[in-house]
Amino acid sequence: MTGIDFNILINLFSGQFFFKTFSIVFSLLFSVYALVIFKQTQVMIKTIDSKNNSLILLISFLQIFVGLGLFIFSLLL
Amino acid sequence: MDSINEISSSLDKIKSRSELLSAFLLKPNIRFENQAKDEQIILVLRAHPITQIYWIINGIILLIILFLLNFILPLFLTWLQILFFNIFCLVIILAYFWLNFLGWFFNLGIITTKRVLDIDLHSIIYKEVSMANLERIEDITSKSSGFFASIFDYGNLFIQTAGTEVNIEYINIPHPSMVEKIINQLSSNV
Repeated sequence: MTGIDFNILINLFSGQFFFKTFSIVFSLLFSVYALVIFKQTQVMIKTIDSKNNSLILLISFLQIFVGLGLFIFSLLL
Repeated sequence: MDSINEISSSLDKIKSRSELLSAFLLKPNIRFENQAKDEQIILVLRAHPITQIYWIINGIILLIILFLLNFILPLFLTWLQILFFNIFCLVIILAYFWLNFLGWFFNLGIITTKRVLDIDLHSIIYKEVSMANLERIEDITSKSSGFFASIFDYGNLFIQTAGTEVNIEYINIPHPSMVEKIINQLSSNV
């Protein structure tokens, strides 16, 4: 292995690389989680119909956008 | 219908003001799936808010840890990474609060003029709805034990039914003995 290749390898596995990778992966996982929460909230709202349902659904829906926002932010890191 | 009015008048003192954050809702403006047209909701129950204090404390501890981490993060990360880390952790902590709130909000006990229902939502992906007709109720047991349960008047209510119908359990509900009295009154009028 040459010196140049070794430097590339160090850069590849540096903290910067790991931080970005984990940021992207966890942002995506959070988006999926937010989607599951939203779908389940929809199911529960069908089960119990009350006047506060729209607020509950809105907060669950906003979580998906927050997750997507985090994903875009992680790509910019 | 007289029994309903009787119950309503006796419970006026503890009638809830907010439907969103209340654990004891008397004749609320709520409808549930498969509710019959002539069926009226008498009481909607959730776990007493004091029993939810553990996740509020956990969340606050996590917020404090996040705040303290900001003193050592500049040693390892750039300002953009610190910003992302803070936003991400904050979102996770808020999601933790929200998940627990939903778990509390959608874990309901409903008492109607015809039946009792127990709606459970565990870990957000597991939903269970059990119900029993009032005339099938055989035995009701209310249990309230512990220091906080005595102070805040909450406990468990176990409803045993005849035959193959499921038994209903209301866990950590406010005023369990009063709820027992209401169900007894309703079932005796069926």
